Amino acid sequence: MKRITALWIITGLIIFQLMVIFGILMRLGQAGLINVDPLRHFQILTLHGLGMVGILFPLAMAGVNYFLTRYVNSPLWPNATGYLFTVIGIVLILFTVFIGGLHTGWYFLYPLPYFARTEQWATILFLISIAILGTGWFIWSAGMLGSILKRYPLFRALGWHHIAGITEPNTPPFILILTTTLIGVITCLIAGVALIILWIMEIINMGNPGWLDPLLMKNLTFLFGHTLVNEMLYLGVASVYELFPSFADKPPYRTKSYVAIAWNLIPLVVLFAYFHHLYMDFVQPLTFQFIGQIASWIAPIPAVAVTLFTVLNTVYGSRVRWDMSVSFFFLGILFWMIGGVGAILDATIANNFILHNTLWVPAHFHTYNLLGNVFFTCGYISYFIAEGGVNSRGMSWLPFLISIFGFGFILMFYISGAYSVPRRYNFYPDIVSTGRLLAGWGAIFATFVFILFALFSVYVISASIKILWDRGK
Amino acid sequence: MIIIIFMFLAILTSDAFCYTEEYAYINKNVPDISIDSLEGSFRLSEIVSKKPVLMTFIYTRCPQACYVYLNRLSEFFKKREIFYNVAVMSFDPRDSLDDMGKLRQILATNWIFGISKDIEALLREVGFEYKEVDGNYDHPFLLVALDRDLKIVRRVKDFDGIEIIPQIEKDLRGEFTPRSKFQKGGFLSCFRYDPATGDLRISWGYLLILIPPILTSLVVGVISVLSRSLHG
Repeated sequence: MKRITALWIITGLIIFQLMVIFGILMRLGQAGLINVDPLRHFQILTLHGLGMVGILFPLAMAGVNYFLTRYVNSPLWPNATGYLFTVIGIVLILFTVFIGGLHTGWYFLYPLPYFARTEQWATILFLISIAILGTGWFIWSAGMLGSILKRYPLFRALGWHHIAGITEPNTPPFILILTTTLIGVITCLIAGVALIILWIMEIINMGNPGWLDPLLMKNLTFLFGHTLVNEMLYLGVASVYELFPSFADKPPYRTKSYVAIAWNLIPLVVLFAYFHHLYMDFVQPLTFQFIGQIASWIAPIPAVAVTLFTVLNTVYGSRVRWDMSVSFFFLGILFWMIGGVGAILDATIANNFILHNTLWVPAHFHTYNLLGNVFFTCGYISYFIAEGGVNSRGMSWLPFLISIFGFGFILMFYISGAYSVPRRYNFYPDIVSTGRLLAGWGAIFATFVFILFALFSVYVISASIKILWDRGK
Repeated sequence: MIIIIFMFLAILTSDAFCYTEEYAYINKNVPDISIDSLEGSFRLSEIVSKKPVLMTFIYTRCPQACYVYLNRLSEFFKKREIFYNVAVMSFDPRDSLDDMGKLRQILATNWIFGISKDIEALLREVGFEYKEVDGNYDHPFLLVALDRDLKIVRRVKDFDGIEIIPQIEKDLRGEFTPRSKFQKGGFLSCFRYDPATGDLRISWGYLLILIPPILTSLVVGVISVLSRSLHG
């Protein structure tokens, strides 16, 4: 498991850095500092979104799979299948975008791909890529869930006895969070399957285009996409719960009843939170919009609030060893909370009416993805290489420096959003010229972030290569 | 894997993975052909620069159908104030301006009636296909709305009622035109709307969204049982 985790880290960081470069290119183009062909811009936008989720999700999975072996005997084959399918899927996506010219955005909203200036085969190859990624991740998730349930009966893995007030036997929070998250992952992957089947039906039914209900397709797309990104964050949080107490020389966390309630609520609440993506769809009934708003407000309470309380409680009055790993985790939690506030603001119907099509949206999701989820991943990676004998104590400044430039980068998005600078524009006309200036600053901050992550990647990859080739361990 | 196999089958079984319907033509530029009309010779761009154009294609030797079709249009337009030009183009090389003049007399309209030596180039771009059968033509009734930049903003193949005209006019104005292929009701629509009562009822499509959580419960149940039985 150690070697395949090292392989994941090497592959993941290389692809992540590549996607960061694409992100910087987009901001430079929006700033007017370089000339990016409009079609190319949207191809890069599509690739950046897909590529980031396409690699960060399995990278987070690799981390939790590694720590899962502390509790259960987790077989290697689901992980290896996930790796194989992910690599094939991402290569196909690269091919789809750069050769096929797909530029519909990750959400490929029906019937957008049929209007797109895309090679005709690109849409179908794209769907195949998504199907391959989804299949690999489904096998991996089911494999991990199976290995958990071999040791823990379902009610124990979900900590239901803790909710009932029974304290023993303790369900480790890591197992609880991972189980609820994997259930959520399976749900959204099934939604992805349903979505792809409908696309296939549409393709087969070509003589009658527009056969499907766009509202249904949009619901399924965001049930799949929004939920997957949410669950990706929770995978990172599982690592936080697993590792954080050890940094403060405290015993492992025990599952309290409120923690069990919180994490059992998550799969349910997240299922409804995605409705906030459909506020602009006037045909969606108003009741559903309100459900979306309420679910979006409730969703952060169990996850963010409980986790934040737990982590702060651990740090307070403790002698924390502030190495690279703990710094990434701690800052990741803080930025996750900040991004969550940005998300709640946007998920409020009255605000969404103004913010929905502005750069506020990339602002909040870059906060909890780049500075939240990526930080969680970097946290476990730092821990992983430290376990492999590489001491990162001398580099504990790195997460703080990335935070400063990273915050500068996302701040440009937030300010742009507040100025109503639209998103999904390749270039800002004079009427929103503020967007150009802020995009330029965003690109500068992002370049520093890239350099610092490159430093981290070189350091980590060289250590991971050693682990990968160390057959003795 | 089943999905992937299905997708390959979809590719193999489809004639061409391409929407040849209306969607594929929207925003497409048409060639700036020269047109000989009863008012003189113009480039198409000169005509659309004054007003957008709603164009249709016929042939004057048509025994009946073209006349019925044009009559329905002219009866409708007589009662309507329009902000665009209607252009009737012949796709039959045998048609002359005289033939088009006679057609205008029959219809008694002020539309543009024209012929063009470049008509084939235009027909290709708007997707108008026809075939000759015993001196007559088998052809669709095609309406193409062109904006002032010679772009197709709407294309209606197999015109089957004047009800579509107000929608086309909205498109020509650049207004939002909600339209659904499910107007007659579709199996997978999320809701059914009753225009008489204003009631919105949940339909089969929305139930489909419940499938992922239901299937997940089944999948988790199966994994749980299998894991325990294998373990036990």
